[in-house]
Amino acid sequence: MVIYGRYRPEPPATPSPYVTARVSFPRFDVQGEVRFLIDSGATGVILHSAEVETLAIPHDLLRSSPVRRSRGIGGVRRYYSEPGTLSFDTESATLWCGLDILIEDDNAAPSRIPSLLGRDFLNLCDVRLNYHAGLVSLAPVNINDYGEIARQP
Amino acid sequence: MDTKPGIVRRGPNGVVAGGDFIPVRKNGPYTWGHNGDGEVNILEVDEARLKEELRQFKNDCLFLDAHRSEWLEQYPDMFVAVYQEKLVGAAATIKELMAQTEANGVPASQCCRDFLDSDPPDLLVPG
Repeated sequence: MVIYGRYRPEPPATPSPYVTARVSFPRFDVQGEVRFLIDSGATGVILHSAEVETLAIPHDLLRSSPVRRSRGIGGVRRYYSEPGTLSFDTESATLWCGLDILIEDDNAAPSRIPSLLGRDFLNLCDVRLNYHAGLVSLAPVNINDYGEIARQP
Repeated sequence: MDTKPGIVRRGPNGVVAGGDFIPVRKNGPYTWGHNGDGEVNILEVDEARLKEELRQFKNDCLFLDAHRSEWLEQYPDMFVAVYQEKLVGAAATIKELMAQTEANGVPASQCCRDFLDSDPPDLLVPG
């Protein structure tokens, strides 16, 4: 089973590969759809300010989650690490993956950086990007009987 | 409806934390549950509904991208939201956008959203 995305025009920048997913956080009873930039340079799956707001993630409850710091081109940013799930559509079924998702601290200045699908998830997949063929595909290496994208074979 | 074991919190060996989970509420395609120890989990997934909502979101994103340059002229430096292939909101801030979509009975979390930047950066280097 393969998760397909697509290249999205972002003029004047070069088109970038995106996939869409349903994100859910059971502890907060929160869920919604998110468009993720595929970013092998990011360590984990990261939700930035626009998605944090539209998903209405309750920051008062989030403050009990572990804090993680990231260092990138834009400097150091703070995130809360919260257990959640990602659900993806494929041609035949929906697949899902449980993992810790990093949520941008609401005290940070709005970044307008897209939400990122980083290596925590990408390392579970055979990732193929071919701009000339218009191909963005993520084929999870291990899928169990429950449609879960699993870490162990 | 398919029943799946939710795996949200794992112990060090990948074992699901907590014991039996009791269904407490349903929100969209998911039924959440708790185990009495403060652990919450997804217990059931309405596959058909989830699939439909994911496909709708994907189509809405395509629709938004197809109209992006046209809307950029009408709504420069504003956030826009698309739901069921219709423009359902345009506002200066995400909070205002959410208020608009919710007033129309559309959950902002299910809209495809974007910021129409009149002066977009030449490079995107997230991290």
